[in-house]
Amino acid sequence: MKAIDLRGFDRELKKGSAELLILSLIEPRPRHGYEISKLIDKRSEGSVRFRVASLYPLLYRLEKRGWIKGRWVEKAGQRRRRFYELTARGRLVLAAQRRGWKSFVKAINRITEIEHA
Amino acid sequence: MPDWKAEIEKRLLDLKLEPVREAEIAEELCQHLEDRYRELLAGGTGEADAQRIALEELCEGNTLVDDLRCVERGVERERGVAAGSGGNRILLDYGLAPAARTGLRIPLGKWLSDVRFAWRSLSLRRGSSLATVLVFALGVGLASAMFALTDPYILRPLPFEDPGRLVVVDLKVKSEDRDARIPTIEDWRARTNLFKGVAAFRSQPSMRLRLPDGAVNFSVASVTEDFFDVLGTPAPHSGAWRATTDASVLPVILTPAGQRALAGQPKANGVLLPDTGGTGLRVEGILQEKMVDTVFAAFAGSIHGVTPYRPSAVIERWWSADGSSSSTQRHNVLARLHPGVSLKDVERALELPLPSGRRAAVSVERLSDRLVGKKLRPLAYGALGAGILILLVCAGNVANLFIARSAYRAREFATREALGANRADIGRLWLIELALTAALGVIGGVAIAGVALACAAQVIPAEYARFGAPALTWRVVLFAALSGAVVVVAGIIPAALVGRVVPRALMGHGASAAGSRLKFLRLTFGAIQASLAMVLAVGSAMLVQSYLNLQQQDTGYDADTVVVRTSYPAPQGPMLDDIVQSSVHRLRAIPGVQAASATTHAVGEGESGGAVMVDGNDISASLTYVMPGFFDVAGMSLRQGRPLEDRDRGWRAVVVNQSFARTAWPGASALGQALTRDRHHPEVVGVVDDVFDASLAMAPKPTVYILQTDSFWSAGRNPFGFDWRMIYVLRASGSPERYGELIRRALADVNRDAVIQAPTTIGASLADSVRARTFATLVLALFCIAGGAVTIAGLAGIVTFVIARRTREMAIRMALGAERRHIRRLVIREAASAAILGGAAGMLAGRWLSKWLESLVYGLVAGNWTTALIAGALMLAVMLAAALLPARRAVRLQPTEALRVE
Repeated sequence: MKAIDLRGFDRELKKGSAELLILSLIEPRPRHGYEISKLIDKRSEGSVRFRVASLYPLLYRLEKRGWIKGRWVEKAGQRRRRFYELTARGRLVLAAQRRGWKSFVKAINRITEIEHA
Repeated sequence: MPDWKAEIEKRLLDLKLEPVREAEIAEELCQHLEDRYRELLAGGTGEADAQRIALEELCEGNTLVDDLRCVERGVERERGVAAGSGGNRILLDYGLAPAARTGLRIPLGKWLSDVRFAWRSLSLRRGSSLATVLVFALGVGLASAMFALTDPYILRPLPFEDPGRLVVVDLKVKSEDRDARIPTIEDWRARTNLFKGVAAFRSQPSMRLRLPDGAVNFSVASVTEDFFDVLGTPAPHSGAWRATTDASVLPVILTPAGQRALAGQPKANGVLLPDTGGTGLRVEGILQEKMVDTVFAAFAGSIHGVTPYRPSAVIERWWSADGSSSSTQRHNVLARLHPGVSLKDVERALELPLPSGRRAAVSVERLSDRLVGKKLRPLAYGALGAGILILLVCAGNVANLFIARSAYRAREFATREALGANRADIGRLWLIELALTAALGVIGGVAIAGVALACAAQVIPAEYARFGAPALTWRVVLFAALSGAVVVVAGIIPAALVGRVVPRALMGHGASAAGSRLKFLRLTFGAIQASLAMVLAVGSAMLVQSYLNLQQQDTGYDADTVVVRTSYPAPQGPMLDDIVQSSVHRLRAIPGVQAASATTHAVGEGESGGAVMVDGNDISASLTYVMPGFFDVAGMSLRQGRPLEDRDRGWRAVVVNQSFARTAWPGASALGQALTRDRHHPEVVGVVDDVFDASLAMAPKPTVYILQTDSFWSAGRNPFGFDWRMIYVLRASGSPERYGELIRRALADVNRDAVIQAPTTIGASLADSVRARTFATLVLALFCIAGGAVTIAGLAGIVTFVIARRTREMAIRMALGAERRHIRRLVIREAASAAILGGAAGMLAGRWLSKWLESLVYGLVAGNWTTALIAGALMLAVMLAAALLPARRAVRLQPTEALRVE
């Protein structure tokens, strides 16, 4: 039997959720890029991973849209790091995206749940 | 530690970033790679492997560089994780886009996205979308074409200043009121409480201008000097355009018709145009407003120039010496009312008290009403009404097709709603789809109207084009857009239904009550549509048959024979024979002309009256004077005997047509018989076929053909001083236009005062005579055909709707073993009932229609049902086919697929 290829589906899911994930992670406090990628990896138990090549362009894009703001933070004895935090507009977007995502997941669940006689 | 910075800068080089920005990005990425490298080492990975893995993650295709390029240039892009706005695509597709709800997206982008979605939705159901747009376009196109044809007669104002205040004033005085004091123009001008201005005009006898290329007829009208001021249109003229007592040279302003009549001649101010009577005209102005031609045409026919005059009384009367009889000359009076003055006010104020105690009535009519005429305005209203009717039929059908589409999509909408999409989102998408369909329909409609009007302009008779040939103007385009809006409004009703009745009915909730109501409505609606389609089919079949009959009617002439109409000044008399002989001789000498002859008979214009005696009985007959060779050149068939020859001069012999032979000597041969005309007793030497002359609509009249040399004029008698008319006929290869100049020159060389009309063919002349009938027939036939097509589309929509509604039922029946024919019957039963019921009613209505069409159809006997029955059967077949086609698709469904659809 031919194996079912789910890579395309995963990619689409990732595409649809990337912004939401990043915005959610920096909501409680500002984080730098490496920390964000590690948190995604950890909390998804390795299911979702963002590499350097795709993470930073997205961070810059969100910054350009005014949803997040980056600033350099220097600590003694360390290289300086760029931390990202949510802007007021970003909070609005995050709230809207969360609502949409919940409805979407709920709908998908309703559709895909097994019906019992 | 590896040199991450060098690796990163190498990759960023292509982006050509600002140095500061590039340094910041490089620093941040360095930090990330360093962290990653350390993490890998901490996890037990060797240095070389850790470096390789970190670099691989940096390189990952060319994602970094491509995405950074997009970000830095401000381009949103859907790729990989940097999905940007595309990241919401999944949500958008479910009508749940959060950005759309929060209003954070750019509105234009949202609308564009909706339009794209609507377009995709229409493309997915290409067949039904195309049908809807076609029906829409047909309805809008035909209604717009009808509007374009009727607009000038109903709605479009005249191109004069404040045209609603222009009136025509007419005083009615009977001849017995000879002592009445008729008011003058000045009297009426003095009524300043009523009129802002009063002008008068009247036509003059036609003049014959002698131009370098030959003579032309030229009609002049006398107008008061303030005529154009009252009319409200600028008329540039020199100061010399003033009423004069010098009758030798009249100052004229050339009308647009006059400028056409003098085509090729210099027309600047001061140009002298001599006439053949020794007087002439001097051009003092050029008028551009074409509507002035229409104004004159309504009163005095085609006017080529206007000259100023000063009339006295509104009506001039001359009494004979004994006072027993009178001649009357009426002046047409055009007046401009003051604002607020009504027609009744003027009529009451101008009523004329008579010595007899009675009052002479004054009738006041708006100029626009006079120009349109009493006959045309009701026709125009009727035609516009028909256009609006077809638009309404179209609106009904579009609504029907939308219901059918909605039935298909009800589950989709319900699913969207279940997924959280609100009604406003679905409604908006629905409306955009409707608007997109409408936009396509209107564009298609304008195209259809353009083609229809271009065709109409080719065949429209002059009487229907007095305000100019039909054309696609901005008013027509605006009407098309408004029509589109009407149809859209009609489509909103099913859109509202879709949100309530249809989904419930489809889901099975409350289906029985709503369903039975819908079924009754559909059956009624379908039957009405079917009967309408049948009436239209019967009507169009009769009209198309009539048109074909007109085209195929044998006129008895060779349709390609060239005809040249000429007229000569009255005092020609004995010179006639020489002129005709020389002219025919010269025409024969034109290269390409095989034969030429002449007749006094106006081929294609009607017949000259007359009577002859046979055995003491008067027989009404057309007396037609011809030159030898006429029958051959005109292509007339000689049934018996021989044609007329020179030796038959002096009323020795005549030729008659079959109608005359049948009337004068029924059952016997006409050859050798004698008839009497005045003191002559010619012998019948030949019998020719009947020919259609006045019109294809009039049966050929008994006709006697006599040699032209025996005519009145040939004998030098012209008691009434009429122009002398001669029609030359030629058999030549090629179109008549090819010979136009050669013919004109040949005839003008013989007599320079001859007015020579452009050559045409007998076929074209006769076509002109039936142009009004042909036009009405074609317009009505096309109207009927299009109406039928729209109606059939509506019927197909009903069947589609039924199928969509009963898919679950069909699937269950099929699963339980029902045969396909049972399913087919189930599906088409409703539409077939509607088609048969409506068709029968339509046939009965067709009987009424055939009586109404009797005056329009040609060559069809009233009560002859062959054409109607064939058309009816065909229409029934088409309606059933329209029902069967979607039904075929339905029975091909597998039960499992059908249930899945549900």
